[in-house]
Amino acid sequence: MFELKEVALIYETKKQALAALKSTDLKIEKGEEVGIFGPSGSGKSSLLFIMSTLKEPSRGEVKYEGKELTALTPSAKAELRRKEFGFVFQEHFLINHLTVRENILLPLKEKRGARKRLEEITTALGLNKLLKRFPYELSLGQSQRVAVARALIANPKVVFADEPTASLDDENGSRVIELLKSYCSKSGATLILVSHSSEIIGDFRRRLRVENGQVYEVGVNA
Amino acid sequence: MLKYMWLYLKRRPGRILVFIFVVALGVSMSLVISSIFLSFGETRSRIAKINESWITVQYVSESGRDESIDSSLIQVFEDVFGLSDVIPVDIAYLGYNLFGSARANFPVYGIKQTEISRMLRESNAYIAEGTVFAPGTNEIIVSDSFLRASGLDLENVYEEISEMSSKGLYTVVASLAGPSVFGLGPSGISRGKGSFGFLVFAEEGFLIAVENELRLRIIGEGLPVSIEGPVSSRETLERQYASYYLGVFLTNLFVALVFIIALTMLNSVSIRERRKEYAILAAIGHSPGSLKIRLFLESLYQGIAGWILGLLAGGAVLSLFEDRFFTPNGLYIGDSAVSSICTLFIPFTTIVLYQILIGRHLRRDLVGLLKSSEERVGLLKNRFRNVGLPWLQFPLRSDGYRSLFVNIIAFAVLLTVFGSLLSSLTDTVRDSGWLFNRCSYIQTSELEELRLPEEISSKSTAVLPADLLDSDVKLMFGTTKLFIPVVSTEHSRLLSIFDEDPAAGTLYVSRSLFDLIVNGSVRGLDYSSMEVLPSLESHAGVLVEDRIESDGLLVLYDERNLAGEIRRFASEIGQVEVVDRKTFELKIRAETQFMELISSIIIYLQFFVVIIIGVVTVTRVTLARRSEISIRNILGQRRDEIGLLFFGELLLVLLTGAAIGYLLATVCWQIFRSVFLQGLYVSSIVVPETLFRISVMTVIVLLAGVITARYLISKQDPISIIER
Ligand SMILES: Nc1ncnc2c1ncn2[C@@H]1O[C@H](COP(=O)(O)OP(=O)(O)OP(=O)(O)O)[C@@H](O)[C@H]1O
Ligand SMILES: [Mg+2]
Repeated sequence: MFELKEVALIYETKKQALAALKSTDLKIEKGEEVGIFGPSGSGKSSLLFIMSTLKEPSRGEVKYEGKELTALTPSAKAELRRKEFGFVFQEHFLINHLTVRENILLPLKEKRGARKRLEEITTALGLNKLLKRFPYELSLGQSQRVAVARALIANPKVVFADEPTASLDDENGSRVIELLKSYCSKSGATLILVSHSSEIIGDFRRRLRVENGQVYEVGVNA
Repeated sequence: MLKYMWLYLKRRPGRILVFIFVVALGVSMSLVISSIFLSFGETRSRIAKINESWITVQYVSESGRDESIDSSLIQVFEDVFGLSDVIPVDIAYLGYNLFGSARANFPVYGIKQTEISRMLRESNAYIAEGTVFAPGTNEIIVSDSFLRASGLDLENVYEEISEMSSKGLYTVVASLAGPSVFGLGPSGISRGKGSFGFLVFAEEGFLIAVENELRLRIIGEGLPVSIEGPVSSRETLERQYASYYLGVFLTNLFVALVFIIALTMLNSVSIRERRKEYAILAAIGHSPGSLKIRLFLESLYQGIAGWILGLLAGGAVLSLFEDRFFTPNGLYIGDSAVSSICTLFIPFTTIVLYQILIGRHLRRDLVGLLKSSEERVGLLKNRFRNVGLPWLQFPLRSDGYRSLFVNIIAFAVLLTVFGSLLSSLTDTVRDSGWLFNRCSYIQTSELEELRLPEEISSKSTAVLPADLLDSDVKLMFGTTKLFIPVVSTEHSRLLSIFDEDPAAGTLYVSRSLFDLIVNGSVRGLDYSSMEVLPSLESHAGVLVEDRIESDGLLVLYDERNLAGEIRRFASEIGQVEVVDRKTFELKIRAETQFMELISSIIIYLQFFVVIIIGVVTVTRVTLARRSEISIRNILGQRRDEIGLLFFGELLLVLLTGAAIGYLLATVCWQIFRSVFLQGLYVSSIVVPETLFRISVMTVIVLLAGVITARYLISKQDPISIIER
């Protein structure tokens, strides 16, 4: 599904150039469950951004289902993100003046008929009572769950999750992870999840460790 | 402290410079505007100042000096004063237009050549250029400011007695420099018809006492003379300039308001942007008090910098204006110290308002500040959460749009109120001739019967004997003349404005003239009762009397070009005065020149400021939403979709704001007018220029917002939009 060849991401600041991601080769198959971990600042988010078309790699090529991503126009990328990708971010990125409900429905182009899906997801995430609130009236954990709901509402084929449990307690954290996993296994979607700790992704079938901009296979769980 | 501010300056130079620039603009504008106003006062007071050099005792005569008055006066002088001495003079009053605002009259004293040096000494003047006049000629010496003003072309000079300008009336042979405006010429200057009398000189410090004493004596004798000296000149000045000072005050107040509102808008946007910074500073242990002091000093420095810059710029503009505008119009620039200090009002009020705004924010809990969430208090509390109109809901809920919305409402209000106020000033003069759109008044100077030629009387709808009253109407800036025809009951129906037979002795007036008269703004009308006649518009009035000692005719017509024919006929038979549409057209040109200058300065200035602030606000509002743009883009909304969304929202906010502001202002203006400015007349509710200006403002602000949004969207990838 994803195929990265010699991909690098270099941040050019005024004084120096910093390689957030060094020449990386990576292949991810459809329906895989990939956990990425590594120390802070190692380049995990950068890797995710590149795969999800949010950033252009400085070098190398990224293929998604055989299509070269870097060759797509911005609107084609946007279309792709809307139709096939779902995102949960480290910073939850909710829009402040939209209610929780409006935030969750944001990725849907056709908002009619989404009621059932919305109810399903919000029940699973325990958000039912929060739908009319605004993001600044939520706790961080609640915001994170809203972000998860938003990522799943449009039935994406790939879910990118960057530290989705960062601000959740253990119980809620594992609930979110379980939800993401069960969604993916049920719908055959690919899950690419980043976490700083290897514990959370301990039982992921495939695990990648990122260190200093380099990606290492840790091994495949049975 | 300084370091903190230096850091802020380094990080956000644009914001600080915009603020300083707007303060400076406001300060310099109000300085220039009040200087223009005050220069009229200054110039007139220099004309009046001549009365501080000597006392003028004078009477009007059609046939030279009046022996009996002269001898009584000399008797009075001899009786009373050993301290003073007296010379006989005759006086011609020359008048010229002070940049169209009003006539300025100054005296030219007809004296013996031998008195010239005495006159110069007493008035602290000297001959700057030229030769001394020769006896028995029409040569005069006049103040150089007057000469500069009319460019030595005496066509614009009026001889006050005959109220006309005639070429070659006088020859100027020299110019005077000094603190006051006056002229000197050979005795006999008023050519047997005009003002005659005496100039009374007194020792240093005795002039006021002498004037008071003379007044007592001369009034006691019942002589038909007028006395002017330091005391009366001060009184005249106070009476004459009351309305000027009101004008200066109001104009400056309005200008200041525009800027204060604009600057406060800037401040409120800036506070919104810096909330997080305050919260962090407070969280690491700065007390709200110390934060307030810090921000107070910050705004104080900015305000003072802007003020100083504004004074410098205003001074520069004034000195530029001096050669181009003041001097060529015979105006003096007054002392600007007072107006300079008055301009402090702008930065001062802004700083105070800023402190209040900050206080409100700092009183909030830190977490709220940190989260940069909107404070929902008072009127705005939850107001927009469940607005019934879904299309208005989104834009109003987002923080930034709210300030833009308020901005636009305020600006539309300003544009509308100013537009109406200023157009009402010129409308009044323009439309005071409403009655004369369809008639001409012809007056003979002699008592001979006036016969209209057949071609005129056949084309007119009616011809009736009439008289003409003229009265002065006090306007906000200066006065204007109003002409009111007097007709007899017998002929009044010919006017076809009455539904019933009018009553003798009644003054029939339009609604707005009624208000003006009730307010005491009209002088010189004599009537026994007054009635509002709905068929009269604008400032029109007709006085109906039993019988009139008519020496004029009122010619009514439907064809407008008859006015021209009547004028031509009148000039052919000579010595006839005509009042018709043209009179008012000329009057408008002369009298509104000044108002229009001031109005256009104010209108364009505030228009300019409003647009700057609008653009700044919309840019910042849009920039503040970059994370939203980015999120939408990440979630798969295409860039053109987002662009369209922003365009729609901005359009909605701006149009609604502009409409609300316009309606609000129209209502407020009507109330304001009926309470404070009764009788002020506006020819239409919707001033097209106002609507045009509001639309232009809306479009420019909208464009600025859309361009900013486009700029953000055009960024390479969605992540870097947030990371800016
Ligand atoms: N906009 C930027 N400009 C310059 N350097 C950047 C930028 N964004 C990230 N970096 C650097 O790139 C490197 C990788 O960043 P990245 O966000 O991918 O790390 P991460 O593994 O996600 O860390 P964390 O676990 O803390 O989220 C870091 O060293 C970071 O400092
Ligand atoms: Mg990261």
